[in-house]
Amino acid sequence: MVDHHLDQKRFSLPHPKTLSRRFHIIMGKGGVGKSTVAMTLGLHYTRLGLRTLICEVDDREMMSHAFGVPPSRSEVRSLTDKLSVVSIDTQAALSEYGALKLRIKALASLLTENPLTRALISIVPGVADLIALGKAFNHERERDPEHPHLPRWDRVIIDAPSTGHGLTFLRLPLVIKEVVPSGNMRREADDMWSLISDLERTCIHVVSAPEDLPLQEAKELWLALKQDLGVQPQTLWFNHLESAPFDTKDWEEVRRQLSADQSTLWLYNLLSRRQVLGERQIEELRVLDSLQGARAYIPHFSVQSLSLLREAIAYALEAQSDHSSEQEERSP
Amino acid sequence: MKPALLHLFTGSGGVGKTTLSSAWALALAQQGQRVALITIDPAKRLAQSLGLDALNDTLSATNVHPLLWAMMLDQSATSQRLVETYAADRESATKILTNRYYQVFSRSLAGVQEMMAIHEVHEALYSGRYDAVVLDTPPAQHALDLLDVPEKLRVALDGPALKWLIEERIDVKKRRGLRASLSDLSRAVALKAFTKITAGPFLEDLLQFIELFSGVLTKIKSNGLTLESALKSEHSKLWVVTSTDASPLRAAARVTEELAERGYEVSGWLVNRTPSLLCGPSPSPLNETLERATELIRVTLNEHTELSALASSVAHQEVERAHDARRSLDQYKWRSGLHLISEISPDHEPLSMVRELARYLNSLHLIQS
Repeated sequence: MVDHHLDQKRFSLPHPKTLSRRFHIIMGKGGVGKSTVAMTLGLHYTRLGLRTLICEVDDREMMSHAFGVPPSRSEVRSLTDKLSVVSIDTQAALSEYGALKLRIKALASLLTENPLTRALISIVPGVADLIALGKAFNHERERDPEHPHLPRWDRVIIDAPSTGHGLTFLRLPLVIKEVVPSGNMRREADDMWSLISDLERTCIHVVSAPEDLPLQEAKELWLALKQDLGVQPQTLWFNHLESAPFDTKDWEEVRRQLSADQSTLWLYNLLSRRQVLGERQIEELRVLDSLQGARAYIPHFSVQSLSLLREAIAYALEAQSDHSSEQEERSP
Repeated sequence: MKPALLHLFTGSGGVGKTTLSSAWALALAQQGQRVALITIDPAKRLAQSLGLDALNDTLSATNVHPLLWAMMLDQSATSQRLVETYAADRESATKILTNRYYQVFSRSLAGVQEMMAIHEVHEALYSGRYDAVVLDTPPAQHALDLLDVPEKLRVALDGPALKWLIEERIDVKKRRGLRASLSDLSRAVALKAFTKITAGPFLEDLLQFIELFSGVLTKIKSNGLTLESALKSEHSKLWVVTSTDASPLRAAARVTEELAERGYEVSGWLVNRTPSLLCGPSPSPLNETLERATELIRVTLNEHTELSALASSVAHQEVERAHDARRSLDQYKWRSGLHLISEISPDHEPLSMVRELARYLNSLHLIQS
């Protein structure tokens, strides 16, 4: 039985064990808040002083918006002292990858600016995703230029494409392992897959919002990751949680006073939205009770911009760490 | 024959687009039209609640309304059908289906769903069986993918790249010597580099796949072009779905602009889940609403001090939420065709949500045949 922390107002991160992994892949259907989770993890790690890179695979440049910096456009861009973002653009990533793998720049540009390559990228499905995934992996392997025995990034977070597409994205190295017998690309795929499937190094997060369809989709995604790909997602996030403002007795009183009369019904309807939503969400979350994994909760922040969302999350992280240090002080 | 009217829905994720387009289709059916609803990559749960087998990828009767047919395009079933429908003959279909590259990638061919959607929409539009076709597309980025398919294919198929690729394959097979022209040299170097990265047999499979598949693509291209002109004609409505949140609104503005650049005219924005305080024929000013609420709470809950304070604060927050939505919307109020769709009480079950929303849409008289 999973404890849903009925006090949903409280923001809560997943179990620290899952957070100690270096490589984080955030999966989920569009609109559930993958970027919010990526941002939450990023802000959490930088509070701990860890150098963190967020890789965005679509071109919305959410992080740059939230931190008020110019768009990354496939360059690594600093958001804060420790936190950076890179937005992965297929064409740019390919040139970079080509240069890295082939070592000869002229040869690389012959390859990447070649009509053959262009044709491949535009009409052969899967190629663009593969390049994006490859770039994220290269960042995971990057060494610190001043201390080459250390990695450049303590944490790498990938904000993956949305569900159907997201699974495709993770499946690619597996596919290559099936088709390609040897060579550079095969070695890459082997490396990628051993990282993705290593529970000690990688944590796969599934994000959901507490509504009927998004919860169903999160369940489908979780099971598909296990059954189709054979990887174990470790963390389940619930985003946009509302809490019911009234307790049962008070709400009964409000109902008695306001719902019977036509002249007060509008007020009852006004007050009931969050109450109904909060009560329903607690019930609905149970759809996912059977999934084994750490839980994390983000309340619905009623904010109108990404920078306000960033501030709200930073505040919630602050409050949570105050809360846990209080608890530590109390325990003997 | 007059084609059916196409209603295309696009917008970012999480704004309730699939539910809204399903409700739209139902509302059309309730007006007496024969409707085909085509959705891409939906939750299985919605398919089930419409009475469809999630794996059934042809237009089928639903249990919601006798004039509503629906299909859910599912990735895995789709690509084989695409090949079987469009390959030049049985032999090349078999060749494609047994190609190693195809076999492994067919489960995850991005773009195939878009191509298949084009096929299905095209069929439904010109079959004479429907008065309206409602197409629900995946989130914003991908809706444009769909509209870009004809153009992408045109560039890829008519341009030199593909011919060049196929010739290259023939060259490789014939083991012809290099002619000493620069383009041949660059081709050979590129190919060598590719071989180094991908290993030889894979490349051979890939080239064979492209050669065969280009036949399939050519046919899809012509359907795509017909669809493109239908979408640019008065036979289509193109709706951008958003919520009142800043980020989907921004995405809606961007998509509208990108569509305009491609020559598509957006029929309007459907602002889904708008706070109910902003909806209705003549919504009262928000500060008046708050005053009335506070007063009413004071009168009715006067015996319970704490409860009345809590109720006031909830009322305050609800009004504040409507204020925020108003402010976000105001940035776009110069736009014509901004339609507010009120939030409806959250319901457990997707189908009753669709029914409720259809009833509401019909009451708005927004949907015209």
